[in-house]
Amino acid sequence: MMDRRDLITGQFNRDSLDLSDPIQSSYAYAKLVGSAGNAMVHYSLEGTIFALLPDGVQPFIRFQALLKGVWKRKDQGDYQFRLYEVGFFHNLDSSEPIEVFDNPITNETNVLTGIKGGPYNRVIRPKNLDWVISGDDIWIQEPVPLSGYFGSELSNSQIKQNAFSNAIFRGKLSELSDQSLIAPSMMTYNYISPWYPFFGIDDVDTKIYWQAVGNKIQSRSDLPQPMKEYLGEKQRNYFKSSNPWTKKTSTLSHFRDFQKRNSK
Amino acid sequence: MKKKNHMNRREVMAGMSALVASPRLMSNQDLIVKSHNIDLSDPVQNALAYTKLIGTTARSMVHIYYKGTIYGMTPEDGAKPMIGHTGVLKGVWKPWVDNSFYYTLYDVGYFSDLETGLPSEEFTNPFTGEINRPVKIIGGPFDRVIKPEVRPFKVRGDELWLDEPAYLNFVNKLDPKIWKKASTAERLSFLYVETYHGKISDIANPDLTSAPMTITSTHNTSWYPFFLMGQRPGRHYWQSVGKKVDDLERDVPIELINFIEKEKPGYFESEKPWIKRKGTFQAYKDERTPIKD
Repeated sequence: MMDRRDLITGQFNRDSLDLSDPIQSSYAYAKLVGSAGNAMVHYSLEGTIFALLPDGVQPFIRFQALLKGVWKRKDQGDYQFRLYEVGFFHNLDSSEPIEVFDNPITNETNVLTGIKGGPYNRVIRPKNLDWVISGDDIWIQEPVPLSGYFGSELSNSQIKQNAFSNAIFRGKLSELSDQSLIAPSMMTYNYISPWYPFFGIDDVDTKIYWQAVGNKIQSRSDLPQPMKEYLGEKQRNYFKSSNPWTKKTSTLSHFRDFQKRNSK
Repeated sequence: MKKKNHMNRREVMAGMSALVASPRLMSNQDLIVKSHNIDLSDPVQNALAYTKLIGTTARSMVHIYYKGTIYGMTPEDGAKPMIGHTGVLKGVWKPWVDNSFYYTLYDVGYFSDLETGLPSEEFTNPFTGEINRPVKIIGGPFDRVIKPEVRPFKVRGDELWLDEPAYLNFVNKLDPKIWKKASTAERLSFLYVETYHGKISDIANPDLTSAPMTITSTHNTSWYPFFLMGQRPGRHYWQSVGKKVDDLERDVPIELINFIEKEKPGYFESEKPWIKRKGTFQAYKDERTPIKD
């Protein structure tokens, strides 16, 4: 059996995990989702936004995102990470970033901003997790109910709306049990949200569904070419930097800032 | 354990059914490394890759285990987990004409208690506070032909995956005027997104007729009838993860195997476990009566 002290101190010498043990479970989580050591981890995601309309579903726009997690192993089996995201929207039939979008629902032209979020800080403490295991395959999911204001500007008359995100990570049990600190992982990201303000659809009764898939990448060369070019133009130091920006933002905040700048 | 024939269940899972002797599923780690190429921009090779990933190019059977959670979402209450679900899909595959493949899909499983994971006979709906009684999960036979076409696989290194969205909008079998609590509307709206993931080295390996595959499945759909949500605004988000089964006892929990063998004896071994098409909405209509407000 794995010695808990070894886990806490990062000294690993075993070939199987006991996921009913909170410390080992959190170790496996850190290794699958990010890193069980001090490291930067990136996920390259590609996805589609679907419009969930009363008369059916419609594919609406596509997007690419690059997530960055800056992981640190702490004492007592804790892990800490700081998450960032950048990305762009693109048309359904092309992978090139767009800033002007011909909205097929309103038939109007929308001015878009990029996807930008973080830093979001989080601490992972030892606890039992709801793993799904089948043979050597293993999954963990992270459902998060959300509530907030999704409108274009912050005001006193904000109406809160609900959203829901779910991230699913998949790996191999054998790879979580080996001596490396980072395991390969596939990520599926789902997000049901109100319309984001830059799409110009002020309808609280319908939602959009963000669906994206990607994997933990090992180097910048693994990125899709449009993302490489986008980073080169918009976020030159993003991939290398462990602290690409300091002020906390989100895609919504980023858009609101953009609106403020343009209204002056 | 009931069996209708003398096949070894492990062999059935690996595609070595009575239909044909096909190689056991192997990961690329089990193979002597060879130089293989596959051109996914070619419609015929793409269909072959797709079939190998989600099923088999041989005349054989493939089973897919899945497990997940259904979350409800309403404007007032946001998102809440409602119930779990798990099952095994069965695909009965055969090569078809013009470089196509044909398969028939079946589904058996159960809705499960969120805490124990065991079959749920009833549960408290977190939105209404009422007791709901789920039906059993059953589906198929659904027939499908895989034709040569270029599907947008994503390839990174040896990793390969495919997002397959499907949008459905169809007439509800449950008339909302009659099924006031079980029916949400005259028409139902479904968005299914299945993501299949495998290894390009397995897909390109000519010695394999069926490649190891994992699946992530998300559905955004109208309320299931047994939630008894009536025409309350909202919908549910159905999420599951799973994989192509290689070894039944290793890959599928024993509780689920026992449930399926009790509910549908011979399901794993049979090429045609039943004939008349079944579905969750139809099962509700067949088994239940309308509930008055």
